Amino acid sequence: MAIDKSLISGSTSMLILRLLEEKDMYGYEMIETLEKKSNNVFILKAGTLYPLLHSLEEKSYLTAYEHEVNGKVRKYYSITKIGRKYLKSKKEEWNEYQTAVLNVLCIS
Amino acid sequence: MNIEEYIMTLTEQIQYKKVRLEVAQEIRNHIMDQTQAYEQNGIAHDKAVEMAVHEMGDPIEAGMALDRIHRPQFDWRLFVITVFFSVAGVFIMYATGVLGSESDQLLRQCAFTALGIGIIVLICFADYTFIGKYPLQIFIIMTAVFFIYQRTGREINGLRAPALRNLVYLYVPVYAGLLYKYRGKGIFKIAKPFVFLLLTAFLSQWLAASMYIGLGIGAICTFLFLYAALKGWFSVGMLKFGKNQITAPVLAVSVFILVTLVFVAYISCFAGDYQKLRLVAFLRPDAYADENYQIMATRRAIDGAQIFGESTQGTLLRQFVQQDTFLIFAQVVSMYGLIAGAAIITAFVSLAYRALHIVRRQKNQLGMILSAACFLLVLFNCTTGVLMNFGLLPIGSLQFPFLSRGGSATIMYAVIIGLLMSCKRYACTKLNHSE
Repeated sequence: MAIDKSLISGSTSMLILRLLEEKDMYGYEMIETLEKKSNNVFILKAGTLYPLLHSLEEKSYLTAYEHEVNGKVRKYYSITKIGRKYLKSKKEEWNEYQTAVLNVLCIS
Repeated sequence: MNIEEYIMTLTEQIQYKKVRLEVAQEIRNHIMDQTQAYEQNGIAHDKAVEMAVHEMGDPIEAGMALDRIHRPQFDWRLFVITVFFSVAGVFIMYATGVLGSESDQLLRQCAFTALGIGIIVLICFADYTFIGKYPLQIFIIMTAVFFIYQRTGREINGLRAPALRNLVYLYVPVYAGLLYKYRGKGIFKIAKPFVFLLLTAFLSQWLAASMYIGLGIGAICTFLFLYAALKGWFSVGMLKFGKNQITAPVLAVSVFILVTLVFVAYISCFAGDYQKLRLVAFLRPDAYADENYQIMATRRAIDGAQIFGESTQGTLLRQFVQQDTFLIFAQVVSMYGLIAGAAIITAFVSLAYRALHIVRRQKNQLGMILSAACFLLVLFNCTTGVLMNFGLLPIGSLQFPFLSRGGSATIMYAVIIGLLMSCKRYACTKLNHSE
């Protein structure tokens, strides 16, 4: 089923932070993991991902470091303490929104 | 569009050139990973590259989004705080008699303040990373200039080139650059910053002809050294003492003890009799009332302070405040009450808080240590200055930010605030390991 992308666009940062809560990742790895975990529903463009990662880093929700793997220097992102707090509040906000939508749908 | 064309189009949208290289490397890696994935699915190389580039999305849109994030920022908050408190400071200095009673002193101070604001803006737009590239050269040139000035400067009130009493504080950011340059592994890498720590303290003391200033700058640089050690700059885990590995906290405590011992040895061997007397007099103020006239007067004025209005014990003599400008705090409290003193402390706290905010936002080690140096300098001078006014520290020689009389102190603080603003402006700069 095709999903309206506007439904998810506001919550991309929440999804990225959730992925990084499990382990540090580099950009390409995030896109792949997100695609797999969402059964190909969330296919993020790199042109959207990197500005988002850099802005999360700017806000101190993420930190980045370089690590060499198989001769390639990759930039890994890691979630910070403030990032975890922000994710928690985003999850609560999302749950409230989801419950509200479900309640309305059930009435009809 | 091939990989390089895509990357060039994207990075051209980013105005701040220093981040272009970093972004280009990350994007290139991404396209190569995607290409590899397509190739593993049996797609030919050229086709795989084309598909991977297409998959990236619009390079102009992505580049513009990255530009918005990485655009150098002018720290308006720090700038407004500085301008507001500097202007207020000039009026406070005039009202309390620090500037003397002649109006040309007020005009001169206004000119210095305007010059200071100009210097802040100039340094803010300059690239601070040159301090990390050439700290040794800056250290040598600065010492040579200070030395010539010390030998040729005018003598005022029996002190040759008194401006050096303020200008030597500029050694602090240069020492931060030296720490950055000599970071790394091995005992020799620790020895160099340690030698420069002692050298900086000694030169400051000698050039300014003030033991207090030498010790103050030595203390600030020691804190910086410990900060760098605790951040793991010297890879101290790699150092072994017998069978035990030296950890960062152990190194930090050792350096602290060593510097304290050097300080005690210095005081007992080289401090003049009057300096020793000043220390003893501070510990027993009532027994040495003559030697302690400043502390006694300051304590008396503050003891009688009211919430609003003049102290019941009267104000300080104007000569005291003109001689030691930092006593302006006690004078303000005795003239206008505790509320006015609280307002001055609030101004210092807001400057220090903003500086700390800049330290915490730094993405690279040089920006971090340089902004930490500026923050520590402001924090140290404000704290020790206020404690001296309350009679809780022996009277030394220093000037407060915003309440500094004369050109040298105003310029010194302008350079420090300008460096903080430059660190904030280029906070997202990523330096190469070789830099």
